[in-house]
Order: sequence, then structure tokens, then C-alpha cells
Amino acid sequence: MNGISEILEELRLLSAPVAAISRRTPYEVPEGYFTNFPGLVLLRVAAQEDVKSLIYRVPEGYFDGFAQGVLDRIKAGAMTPSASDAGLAPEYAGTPSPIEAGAPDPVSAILTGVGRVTPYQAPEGYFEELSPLLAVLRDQNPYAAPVGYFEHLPDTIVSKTGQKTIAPAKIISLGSRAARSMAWMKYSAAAVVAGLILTVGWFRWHTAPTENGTGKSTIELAKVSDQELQGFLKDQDTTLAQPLSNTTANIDMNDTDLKTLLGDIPDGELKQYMEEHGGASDIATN
Amino acid sequence: MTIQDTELLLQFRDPEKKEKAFTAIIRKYQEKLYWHIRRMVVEHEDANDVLQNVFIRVWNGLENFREDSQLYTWLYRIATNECLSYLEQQKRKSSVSFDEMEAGLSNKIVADKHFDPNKLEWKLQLAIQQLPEKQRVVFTLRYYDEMPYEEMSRVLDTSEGALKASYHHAVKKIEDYILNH
Repeated sequence: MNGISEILEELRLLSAPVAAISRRTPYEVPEGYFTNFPGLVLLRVAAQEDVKSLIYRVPEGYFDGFAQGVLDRIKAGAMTPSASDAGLAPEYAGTPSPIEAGAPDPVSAILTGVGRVTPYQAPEGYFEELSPLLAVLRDQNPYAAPVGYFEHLPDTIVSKTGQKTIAPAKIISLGSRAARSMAWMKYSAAAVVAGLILTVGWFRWHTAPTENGTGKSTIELAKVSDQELQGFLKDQDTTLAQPLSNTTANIDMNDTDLKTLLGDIPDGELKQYMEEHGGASDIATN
Repeated sequence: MTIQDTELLLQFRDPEKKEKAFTAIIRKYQEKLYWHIRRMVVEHEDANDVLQNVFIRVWNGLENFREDSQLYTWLYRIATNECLSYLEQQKRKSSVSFDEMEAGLSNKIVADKHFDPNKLEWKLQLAIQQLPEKQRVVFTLRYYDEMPYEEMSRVLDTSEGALKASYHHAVKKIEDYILNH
């Protein structure tokens, strides 16, 4: 190490008491420890290497040329199997596998021997008939229930559950809770409107005469004496004092107009009217 | 890097000379690393475990070691990290706090059959155990291993200024401990 004196000087400047302490570490080491230590470490290294050797390993540089190797084999038609490798039909005989041909790359040797043609065969016309067959079979239930099974099933279930009678199922409204509350709101609104109509109608029925003044004046007049009324009438205008004639308006009509008006009415009806209401001389017939 | 270390590394990369070179590296650095570790973990058994782990790591990583730094610096770095990991592991195992851990290490010192409370070097060991971990590492590397700040900064990945400050704080705390105990 360099700069030991520098380090000591620095320490003296910082703390003289600490610099005065011996720098010997007081701990003891077992005898021969450092002599044997490299051997101990090498033993552990060897154990580690043994463990590593047990783990699957890939040959060095295996993945470097893997992709190219696969491509080369595909280009060379390596996937065509040989009859001897795959035990396939004789038509494949004579096509050597890359292994037989002496291909140097042993990668995926098993896959190389497997052909792309499936060795299994289906009966002739199988696929054509498959669909109609299923259509027929769909309605043919191969299973059968014992005779009278369904007739006795409810009783069997009841006896097993220990109930003599089955309580009727609780009927639950299909409407949702929100829908039910909406119905209640509708009923309430209808009741309020009906109540309003009845109330208004009742007031209209009983208070209409009073409101237009006729009823009110009748009630007030009942309180007035006959003498007061007679005195009042005398003081008023003569037109009001005269008795009121018929409310029908006086219309000036001559005989021609009368004939025109009564021209459409049959004579029988006119005669009947006259007999009932007055002299026949007053009526001109058609 | 010293010429000797460069030669050892070359031999290590040669499969036939690998074990021989590795043995030479162990013999060269085992004592320095052992004492560095022992001052941190106190007990020999612990120091032995940690030192073996350090050299296993060296075996596994030496082929990829970049020679832009010194082998010695790299070894100290591995040893320091292994020490701190070991102490952290011990702390987790026993579920104790940092203060309790310090007390535990002090108890180990006192329990040593060679312990003498009147000797300053033993008192110094107790004082070192009172320091925070980082200051403890800095003080032992500087005081015992006489490591320059420049190299220490490579070992601990810390600036020289921060290391100087840590060392000064550590010395003052140790002085305080020595004078008051």
C-alpha cells in the first residue's frame, strides 16, 4: 500500500488517542486455517461444478446455427419420411431419411423420420355420410326410463323429503321493486287527481248561484219587507215599474212572410195545431 | 493492475492452469480479505463462511472480470458486499433491529476467550461496532487496510469527499468511545 505515512498523519491530526492504539487486530485464527483454506474453496467449487453437470446442458454453439440448420433441412425436403423409419406404406419406400442419407446434423432426428401424411385411414364415404347420420341419430334417444317412473316420481320425492303435502309456492311478482314502486306512484297520482276533480266539482255545484249574484240577491231580498220593496219600486224608473212582457222579441211580419214560413208545413198538421191552440180563422192555410 | 495479477488472470483463462491460478489468487488475498471480513462479522465461523462465498463468487465471475480495474479492488468490493449481505441476512433471521445487531456483535467480542477489556485494541473493536455500517466499513478499510480514498471510492461506489467525511466522523466517534469507556 502507498501513503501509509499519509494515513497515519491524517489520523494523528484527527485523533491522537486513536492514532496511538495498536493496529493489530486482537482476534485469533485457528492454526493452519489459511493453509487449508484454498483446498476448502476448491472442494466447494468442485461440488458446484458437479451440480452443474447434472443439469441439462446444450452443446456449445448449438443455438447459433439452429435456425439456419432447420431452414436448410426444409429446403432439402428433409421432412419426407422413409419407410424404414416410420414403418409407413410401401409407397414411401426408397425415400431415404436425412439420417440414412448421411445428413451431418443430428438435430431433431426423430421428427425427421416422421412423415407429414397421417397413417390412419377413414372408411370410404365416411365424411359424406357423417352429417345425415347425425341428423337421424339426434331424434333417436337410446336411453329409456322404467315404466311408470314419471307417474311415481313426485310421490317418491315427497316421501324422501318427509313432507306429506307440498306447500304452494310463494308467488313473487315478476316486476322489479322499482317497477312496483312506480305503480304505487301512479295509483297515488290518480287518486290525487280524482280527489281534486271531486272537490272542485262539489264547490262549483254548491257555490255557482252565489258566485253569479242571483242566489245572493235572493237571500238578501228575503230579508227586505214587502213595504220597503213597494216603496223602492215606486221610486224607480217607470219602465222598470211596468210589468215585464214576454221575453220574445216583437217581429213585424205580413201575410206573405207568414205564408212563406208556413208553406212547408202540411195542412193536416196546421189544423191539428189550431184545434189545440186557438181559432182556425187566425191561421192562413196553404 | 500488477503484473502478477495480470499473469494470474491469463492462467485462469487457460483451462489447464485454471485451478492452479485460482489457488494462487486465494493464497495471495485470503488473509487480507479474511481480516476485513472478520472485523465486520467478529466471529471466525462467520468470517470463514463469508470468505468461502467470496471466493466462490470470484471463481464464477473471474472469466468475465474486466481488467480496467484492479483485481484487488474487485475482490474487496465482493468481500464488502458479501459482508453486508451476510449481516443483513442475520438481522432478518433473528428479526432484530440495527441497534440490537450492534449489541449482538459487541457481545460476541466480549465473549471471545482472548478478550481483555483493559487492552486498547479490544476497546477499539468495541468502539468500531458502535459505528453505523457505512462508517464501519470506511474506517476499517482506511485504518487497517490502509486503502487510499481513490481506491475506496471504487470499492464502495462513493465519492472521495463523502468517504473522507465518513472517516472523520468515525474517528471522532471512536475517540469519544475510547475516552469515555
